[in-house]
Amino acid sequence: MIRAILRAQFLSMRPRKGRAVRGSAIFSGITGLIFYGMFAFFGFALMLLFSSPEESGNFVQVLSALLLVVMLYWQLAPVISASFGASIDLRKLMAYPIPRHKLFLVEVLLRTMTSFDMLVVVAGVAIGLLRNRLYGASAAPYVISGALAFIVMNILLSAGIRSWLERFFLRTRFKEIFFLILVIIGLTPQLLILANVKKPASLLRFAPSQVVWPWASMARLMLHQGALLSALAAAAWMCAALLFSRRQFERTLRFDGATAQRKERELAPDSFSEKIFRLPSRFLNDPLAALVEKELRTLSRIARFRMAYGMSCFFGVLIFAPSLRRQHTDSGFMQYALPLMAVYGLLVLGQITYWNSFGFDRSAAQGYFCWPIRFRDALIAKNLTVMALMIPQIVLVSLVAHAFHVPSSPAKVLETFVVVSIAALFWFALGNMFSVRMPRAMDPDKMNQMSNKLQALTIFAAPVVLLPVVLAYWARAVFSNELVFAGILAIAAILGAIFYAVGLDSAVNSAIARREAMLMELSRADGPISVT
Amino acid sequence: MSPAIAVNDLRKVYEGKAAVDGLSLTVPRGSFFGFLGPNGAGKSTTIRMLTGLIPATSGSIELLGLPMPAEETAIKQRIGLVPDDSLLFDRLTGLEFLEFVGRMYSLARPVARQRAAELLELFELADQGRKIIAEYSKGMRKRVAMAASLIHKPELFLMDEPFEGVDAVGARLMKDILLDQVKNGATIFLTSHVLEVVERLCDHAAIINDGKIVAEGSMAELRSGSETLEDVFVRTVGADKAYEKLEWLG
Repeated sequence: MIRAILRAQFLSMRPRKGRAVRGSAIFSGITGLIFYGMFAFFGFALMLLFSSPEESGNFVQVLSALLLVVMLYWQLAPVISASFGASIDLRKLMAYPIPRHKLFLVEVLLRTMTSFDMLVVVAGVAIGLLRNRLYGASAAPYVISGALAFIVMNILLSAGIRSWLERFFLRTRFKEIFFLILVIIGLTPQLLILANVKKPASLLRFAPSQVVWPWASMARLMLHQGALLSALAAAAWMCAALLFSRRQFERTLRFDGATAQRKERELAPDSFSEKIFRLPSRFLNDPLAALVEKELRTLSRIARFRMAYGMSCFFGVLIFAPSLRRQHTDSGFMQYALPLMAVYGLLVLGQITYWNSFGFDRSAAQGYFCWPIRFRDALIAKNLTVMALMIPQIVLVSLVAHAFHVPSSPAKVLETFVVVSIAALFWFALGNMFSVRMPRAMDPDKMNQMSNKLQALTIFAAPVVLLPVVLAYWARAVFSNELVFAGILAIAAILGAIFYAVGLDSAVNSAIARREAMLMELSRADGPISVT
Repeated sequence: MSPAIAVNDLRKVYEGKAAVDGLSLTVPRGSFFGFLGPNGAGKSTTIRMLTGLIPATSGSIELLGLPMPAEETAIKQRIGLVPDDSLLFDRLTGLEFLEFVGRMYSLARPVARQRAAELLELFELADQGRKIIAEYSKGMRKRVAMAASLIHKPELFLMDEPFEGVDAVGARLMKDILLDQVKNGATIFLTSHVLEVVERLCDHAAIINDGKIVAEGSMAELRSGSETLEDVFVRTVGADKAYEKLEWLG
């Protein structure tokens, strides 16, 4: 039965034939290599650390702190990135007479598959300890059982948290606020720096390492410290995780998501938003105005978008806070801090807007080919919508930045608008091409978004794509001349416009040539397992 | 006057297999044309080629006297579409969606808004005011889709299973509206699995099987003697009692 479910999922995920699909697979392979490569590197570094006998004196404290960090990442990262990986779609399987414990087992197996990055890290620690001559082969049963206990507990815990969140997001109107709080927890190190804590790494000394804590009990078991007590504590934590996850899973099975969602979807009459939605018609003609208006209405009603927008407004400041703390207001970094934060916001928005423009349209995207409009207009409207959203975003970022003493004069805000617009030309050109060549249906209710792997690639690609803008700032710093800066920005704008026009043509031609495959991908239904 | 639809030797080939194989068809203006066929016969592929959603491998299409795809935009301006797949933006309300579609067909915003409100009233959806389409039932979604196809008063309707999932009251309403449109000179080309619907509404029909037209003509021509359309369909398409081969099901 379990094999049948996994096979059905495999069959529904298998790629269709075609050059574009092969390209997508290669791209996915490269991003996967980068993403998991980072964790493999981290795991390797940990292996070196824990294989060193000289460092053994601090191992209890260090390993407890490390497992705490790993556990936090394991449980919080999927929440923060809203990317939970594969999970069983109960709506499709509830109708069949499958015993509940088997469904639960499939869910746990899927959690294991999506925890590969963390497994690599824990394996690095375990291999390091086994290579350490102070531990070696004789300690293998302890090292392995401690590592396994930690892995099992985290997998069960993540299954339980996922089940709970799934119900929470269908039920509450305040999901974005909750998300923001979680992300702020994830950014605790930055906040501690803001609070004048000089060395956040030193805080790890205070990580609880008593045997009663789950991470500490498992660390101690791995290190053969008070093995019996550690093993008992680890077993107790595993049982607790099992009970929690099983209970949450059972509750999800009984949960009536459709009724909970219905309340969410009744729109309150709101004349203010109506005025905002109608604004594009003042500056644009139909069909562009109608298309932008539709985008604004649609995006504003998707919780995942609202959260990403909130992140784009505030997180730039938090992320760059450690650097800001060390700078004077007239330093070089402070001079480009505001544009940097705004561009960061543009990248954050990309995850659910321009990288996969038609993801939320799904099968309705066929309208762009059926209505008497140019497909080009649909793409331009989607790009214009993001730019329209960037205006209040930049104003908000400026206000937040001002509170942190980042230079945010009107001239600086204007400069930020110009820089963001130029950067957007490059990003939109790439985004348009991605959107038509690698479209992927997105379910707004599942809170899914771009994969972690694609996020990693975006971060790596950003310096290359933004090179013309970076060059302008570099020239300003070297020559201390505003005219040189403005001149290079003007060249960057021209290059951006050419790049955008070429990218748009390519995207339009590609969409028309392969519209059938594109619409098929966007209409594609999930298998018995949904990937979010 | 040129026919509403003139298709000549139309082919659509997927990986060496023809989904539509040399289809030729003429639909006179002002007719209510039923396009029938078993599942996978090529009905939806044909309608998708007519609407420009997928390109034909070979053959020619003329809609309202204009060649497709050369005059694509002019043709699209004059046709109304109810596709098989949902063409609805789930995060808009019915009113917002209809207004949006009206504007896609170059209607001025106030006109689109007014027609949208009137169509919602006509299709008995006006009380769903603040509900987004994601909350609509399947039948309500079909009603909105049909309302959207009417908003620019097209001359030709292309409809893929328009009554699927619609309750009896809704279906009756939709049929009355369509018959009224034909009376006013519009042409309707629809696919349906419900043969009784086609029999009652259509004046012309064609049956497609394995991508080829196997029967075509007026309703009177298709039915000979006391045969119903269902008899004609089964006789033409052929249906063996395959289930008898499954002993365990007996």
